[in-house]
Amino acid sequence: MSPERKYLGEFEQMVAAAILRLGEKAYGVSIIQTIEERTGRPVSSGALSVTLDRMEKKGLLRSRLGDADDGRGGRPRRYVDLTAEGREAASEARAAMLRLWQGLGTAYER
Amino acid sequence: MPDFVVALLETMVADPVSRAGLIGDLEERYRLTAPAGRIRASAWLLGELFVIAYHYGFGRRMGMDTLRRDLSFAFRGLIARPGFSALVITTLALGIGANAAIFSVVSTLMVEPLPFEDADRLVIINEIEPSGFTASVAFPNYRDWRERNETFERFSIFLPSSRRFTTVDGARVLEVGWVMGGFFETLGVDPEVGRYFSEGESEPGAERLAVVSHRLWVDEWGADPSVIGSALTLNDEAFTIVGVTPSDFVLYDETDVYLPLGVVADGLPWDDRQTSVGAEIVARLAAGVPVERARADLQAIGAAVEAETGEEVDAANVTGLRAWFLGDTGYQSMMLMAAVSLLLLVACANVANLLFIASERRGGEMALRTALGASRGRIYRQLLTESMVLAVLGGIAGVALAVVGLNALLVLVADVLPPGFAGRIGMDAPVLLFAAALSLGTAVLAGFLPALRSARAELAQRIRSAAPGSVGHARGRHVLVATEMALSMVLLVGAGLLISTLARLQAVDKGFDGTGVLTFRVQTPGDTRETWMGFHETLRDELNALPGVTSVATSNHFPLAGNSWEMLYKDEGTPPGEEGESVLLTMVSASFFDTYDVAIAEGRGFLPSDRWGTEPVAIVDETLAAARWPGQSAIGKRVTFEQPMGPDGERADLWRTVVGVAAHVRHYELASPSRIEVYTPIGQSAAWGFTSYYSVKASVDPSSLVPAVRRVVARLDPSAPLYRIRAMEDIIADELGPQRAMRELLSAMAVLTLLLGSVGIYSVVSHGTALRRKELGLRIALGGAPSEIVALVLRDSMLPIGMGVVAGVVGAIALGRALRSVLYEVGPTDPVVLGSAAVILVTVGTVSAWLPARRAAHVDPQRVLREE
Repeated sequence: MSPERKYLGEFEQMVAAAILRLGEKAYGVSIIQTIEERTGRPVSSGALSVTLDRMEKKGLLRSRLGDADDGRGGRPRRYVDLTAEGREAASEARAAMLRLWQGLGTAYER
Repeated sequence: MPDFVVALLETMVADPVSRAGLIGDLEERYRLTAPAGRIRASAWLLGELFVIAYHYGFGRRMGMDTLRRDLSFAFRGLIARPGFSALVITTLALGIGANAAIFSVVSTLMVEPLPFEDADRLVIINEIEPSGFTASVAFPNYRDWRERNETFERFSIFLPSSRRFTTVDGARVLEVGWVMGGFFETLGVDPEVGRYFSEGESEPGAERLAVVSHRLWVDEWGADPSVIGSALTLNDEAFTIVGVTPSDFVLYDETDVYLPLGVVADGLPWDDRQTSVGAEIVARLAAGVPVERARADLQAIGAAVEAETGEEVDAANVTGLRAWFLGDTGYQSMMLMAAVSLLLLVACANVANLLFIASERRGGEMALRTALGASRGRIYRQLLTESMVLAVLGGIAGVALAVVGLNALLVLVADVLPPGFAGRIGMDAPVLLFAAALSLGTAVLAGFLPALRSARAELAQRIRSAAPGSVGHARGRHVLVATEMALSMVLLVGAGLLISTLARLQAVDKGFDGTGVLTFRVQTPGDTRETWMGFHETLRDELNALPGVTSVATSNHFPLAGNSWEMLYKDEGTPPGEEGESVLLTMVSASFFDTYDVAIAEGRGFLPSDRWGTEPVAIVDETLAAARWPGQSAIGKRVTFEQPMGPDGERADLWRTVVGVAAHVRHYELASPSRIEVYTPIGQSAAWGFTSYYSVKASVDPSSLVPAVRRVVARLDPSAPLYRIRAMEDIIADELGPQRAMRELLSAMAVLTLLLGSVGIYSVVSHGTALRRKELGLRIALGGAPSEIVALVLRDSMLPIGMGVVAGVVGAIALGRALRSVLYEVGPTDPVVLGSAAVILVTVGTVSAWLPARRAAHVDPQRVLREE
């Protein structure tokens, strides 16, 4: 049985990259801040949450709850980490993107 | 983050890890956004909520899937019973629509902020005489109150008047407000353009500056801002326009132009406490001072001044701006709100009734579902969902109805509302919220009781006894019918009281007859007494010559004109040193008594020969004659109420001989007698040059005379504008405006309530007969005559109708008491009104019960018995 190929959508790629960047500190708010800082694109918590749910369901990441936090109204953080499968999918997505863009230089810029 | 948002989020996300993470994230980010301001943070949160709702959907956790199922089930059920659904929705729409429409008026009147800075601190002050009549403010009182008070931040005075305004197109009269003491500063609103003149610029010796009203600015100069700095010529004096009031400057709505009182200060009685010329005080309370304390403060000042000077100081009548604007309208609108809520209660009772019946008819279905394992909670919920769907649909239809109804309502009450308010009434957010709350409340109220009953365990046995419903429930339905009847009775009586009041007011002996009289006012300068008198004599003659005109009168005011001349009266019986009594002075041409058909009870009317230089004469009214000379003739008595300036410059009492006694005329309002009245011949009056009031009685439609009247006046003096042209019958009709509006509204509510009540009785009785079909069929089979069957059914419904009438009488008496301020010579226990209402109610109730009863009497017994 060949393992099913898992593709990452554009937003999933961003999330995956942010998680890798953040390491142990990856949770909702830090992921959003990372993406917003680096892409300038506003991210809503709801969209991120549902994406994390989906990626977890696909086995690409796992989450665990941290300790309750007063700065969050007593709610714990949902820390996330890519599984081996998730890392593989992220790496594959990155490579695919690079292959597509290679050699184009800046010709597309007007 | 607000708690309810957290609670909402809790219902949206099912997975506990995702939920904790998401809510925590939002809380963290909300706190980061908070410094940007509440509005920004809330907007951000709202955006997030939409995204979450989009991704996760509402109610995943709280069994909302069942809600969705219940909803579609409810809709299917309602579509399957279109007649029932339409009836319930229409009933609710009537109740909610009527309430929303009235509420939109009431909320605007009572809650909407007035367009002035801190309007709650603004008050209007006039005086109350010991006799109880209100009067305008005497200047010395204004000065003393202003200088000595410790409860006001600002204290300004407003004196209404009128002036001729001459343009290239001719002359017209402008309503002028002379102001002093910081009128504009007191109100605290910015001008539309330009500036206001300041407190300092309104003192004696003031420059001739003018602030024009928004209306005049638009009408006269097409809202051209460059009008600032140009001249406005009033009575041949040029005033410089410095500013324009904003469009919502609703205080003294009729005023066209505001001028500094200092300009005319010389001619005013600054030191005469007994004379007032129409001024009112516009003041701003100091922060935190209640009206009562301010009133007590002015009262104490008055007492101190009386002690110091020995002069009488009238009590200060301090009225908050909103109360001043509303007058009785505020109370009346609250009454209407109370009345219309009765209509809603009847609608609720009706819907509860219909749901009751529906649930009984569906007893079998519910029992089956219970037997198949549906929990009691499920059944509750489904029934409540149904009534909720009905209420929401009823609410939507109600709002649509309210929009239509509000337009009709505004037409009806437009003339009764204070100026500036009508334009602000509409279906705004508070009204829609109110309607939504009503719909939900109705759903719970009307839906809960039947739901409770239907879900009872006893239902299980209904499967066995295939007949739905039971006689025991009849009692509950009868209570509802009795309630509906009682509430209908209350509204019927309310409408009846107003109908009776209006009829009495229309028939009241007002002392004069305004039928066919056209009124208007003329201002003409007249250089001397002779030219002024001459002008009016000629004008009367010319108007008299117009076709259709039967009589023309000139006077210094006329009944219900909204203003009056009052003087202090003395006669030979008045003890020396006494100040005298305030009386209404009406200066009239000889034709006045004919024009208004005022009866001369004794002596004679005036003659054209009663003119300046002949023996001074007066006519007094019956009230005066009866009070001063009981049992004697008033003719030949000597009276005085004028102190004209003599040739030596001294003022002296002018004594007149009474030549006639006239009927009392209701000058201020139709509902109550006015002050004592005295009349003098205008040709013999000490005063002249005032605005003259004309009354032209004609045998033709008064309004058809207007063009001819204008031509006559223009020919005599093109610079003498006539204004406020109105038929006296219209003036009288306006007086009755509040009563008329109340009568129309209460009658409409009573009819609607009665209609709903009769639907209620009809449905209850027809349901009852349906339940008893078998029994009735058996009776018919055994030889019961149709009339006996009808009587049997009717007897059952008579009890709740009777109980309703009795309970209604009690409620109606309470309503009648609350309505007292608009009632006239009719009490809440008026037997004719109570009796008529009871008769109407019992008749409508009986007919509503008779229709289904008759049908029941004609069932085919064979078919009914075979149905088993």
